[in-house]
Amino acid sequence: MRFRVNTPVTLAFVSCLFIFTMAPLSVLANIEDDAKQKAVQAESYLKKLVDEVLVIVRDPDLIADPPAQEKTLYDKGLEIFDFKTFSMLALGHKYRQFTPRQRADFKTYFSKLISQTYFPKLAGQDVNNISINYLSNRPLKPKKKIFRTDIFTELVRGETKIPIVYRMILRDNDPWKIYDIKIEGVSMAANYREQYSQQVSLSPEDIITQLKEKVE
Amino acid sequence: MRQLIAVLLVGCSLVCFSPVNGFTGDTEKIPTEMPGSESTAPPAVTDEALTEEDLSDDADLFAEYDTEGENTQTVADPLYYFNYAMFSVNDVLYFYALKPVAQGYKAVVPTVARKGISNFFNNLMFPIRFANNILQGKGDRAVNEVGAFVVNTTVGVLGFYDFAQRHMDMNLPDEDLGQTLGVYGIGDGFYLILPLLGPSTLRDTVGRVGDSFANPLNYVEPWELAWGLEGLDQVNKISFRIGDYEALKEASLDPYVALRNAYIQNRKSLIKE
Repeated sequence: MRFRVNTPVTLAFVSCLFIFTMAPLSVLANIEDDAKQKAVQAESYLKKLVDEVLVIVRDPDLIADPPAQEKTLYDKGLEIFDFKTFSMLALGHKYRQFTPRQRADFKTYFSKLISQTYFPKLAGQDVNNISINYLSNRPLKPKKKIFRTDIFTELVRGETKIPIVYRMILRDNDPWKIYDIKIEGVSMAANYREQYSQQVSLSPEDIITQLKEKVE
Repeated sequence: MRQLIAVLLVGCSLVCFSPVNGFTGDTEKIPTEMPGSESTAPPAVTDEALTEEDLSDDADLFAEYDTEGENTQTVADPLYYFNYAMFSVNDVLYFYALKPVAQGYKAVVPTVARKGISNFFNNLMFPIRFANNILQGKGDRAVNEVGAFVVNTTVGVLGFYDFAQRHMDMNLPDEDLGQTLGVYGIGDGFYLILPLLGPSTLRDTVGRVGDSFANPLNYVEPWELAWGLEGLDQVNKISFRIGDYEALKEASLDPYVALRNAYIQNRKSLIKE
């Protein structure tokens, strides 16, 4: 059989082929660069947020009034943490058993728990002796235009250095927010996830009640 | 000719669309391995319909479990009842013995001195870190250890002043035989809480025994002095960490599981770096 090559059609076809193969690859490369850039932005944004928290923690008026300090820190926490994602990761597969109302309730109490757990690490006696070193950032693979990044820091308190990794997420229309904290290699979300996975007999309502009793 | 075009079109579409698919993630793929749970998840019970956004969030969320090789599998705990008993024993020992002694020690001994003692013991444990760095193939770190040991013992007066880490920008991460075995790919085995010594695993306990041969304190005569020095080392270490255990208990819903998970996560991160 003899083919007669139709030159213009072949040319058009081959160039289309080329564009279709190259385009996704270049899109991928652009997204990677984008992620790196955003990771750098995340690090400087985190620095700003943590400095703001340190100002609150060092405020003598608030140190004298613990309930007020707790409330101020909690409000700040709502601003810097993405508690929805944090709760999802903390509950793991159990999250699917929760209705939207239960999820909202869980989120409320969980945010209080994290607030009460994390901020005291920055507060305490020698609060003026703390400094935070920002070591590096590492972007995670972006998904559906949601960017995430790990920021590696070190909390220096007097002589001890504690490595803390903040995992941050950037969703549309929101600034960067923290959704997991790894202290000395221990992820808070994973820790709670294992605790919850061991409590097989508890229903969502039981979990919420247990959490509520814990924070109040 | 038509067959050729058809084949090329199919090939082209495969090439075009596969990287995009890998990029956005397959929304159907949910890992069935639930961390630490034997039963399968019961069907979702809702009184309000889950929104589209919720469902896609779930997919992203669970896909995260598999990313970056983060191992969310829990450790085997066949000795649960023994471990729980040990957990309670250690808890009591901490609050009624170790913590009061450490608090008294902290009140009496100035921070500079405590730091000096901590540096001294850190310097003394050089053989363990050195051997394990070699065994893990971390030659450059082994060289660092030798250099730091020499500097700290001389300039740092028997190790009391950590000259190397402060002024020479050296970093001496902790290495032990348990980590070495972990680097070799040996799994945890099972969780084991040692009385007084705290959480461990089968592998890490074997590691402790192995390391004791390289621990200079084990060769100190008479045995009272050896135990005395070990005790000093432990109390000194705890004096910097008073409050950590209480914070863990305060933050957790189930302190036993929280401690177990924290220990395992911490060990995994140490093995990685």
